[in-house]
Amino acid sequence: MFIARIDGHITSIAKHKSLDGFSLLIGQRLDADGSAVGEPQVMIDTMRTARGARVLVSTDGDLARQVLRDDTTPTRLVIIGILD
Amino acid sequence: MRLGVVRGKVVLSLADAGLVGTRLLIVEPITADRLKSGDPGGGKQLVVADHLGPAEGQVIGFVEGREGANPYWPGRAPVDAYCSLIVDQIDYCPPGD
Repeated sequence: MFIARIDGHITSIAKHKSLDGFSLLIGQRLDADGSAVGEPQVMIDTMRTARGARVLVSTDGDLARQVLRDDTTPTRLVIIGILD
Repeated sequence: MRLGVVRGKVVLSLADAGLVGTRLLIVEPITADRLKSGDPGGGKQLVVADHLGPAEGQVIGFVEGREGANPYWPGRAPVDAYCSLIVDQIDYCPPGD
């Protein structure tokens, strides 16, 4: 799991069927001191997270398969919590 | 799932059986500052398996690692990067740090 800041979102029509109906946010992984790490990543959101929020992101493919209820889903990052 | 720009494609003359019917795209991942500047790119290019058929220059989202082979289930494919979606619109504005 890692902490990320939500910086935006994307819209996509041509995508894998398992992604239908899920909102896709752009998150920037953060270090403990808040500095950005790595490239922006697209992550699955089920909590209507607002832009600028800091979230906890799971990198477990198993969880992604359960959340999207599809064993063939080509995704891994799922937002599992919003930091206080 | 990182964002990337399609720069080209790869055609194999001899391939693993699992790759039949899969396109192979040359993709350049997009770094944060290049995404902000509106001129996507900047990362180290890699080859991504694909079933959606994006055109050159289009932005895609691709997953890496074991999940790249998920769409081939129950079959198996030697794939560790897969094009999950083609991006239509990007709404990206990080805080001006």
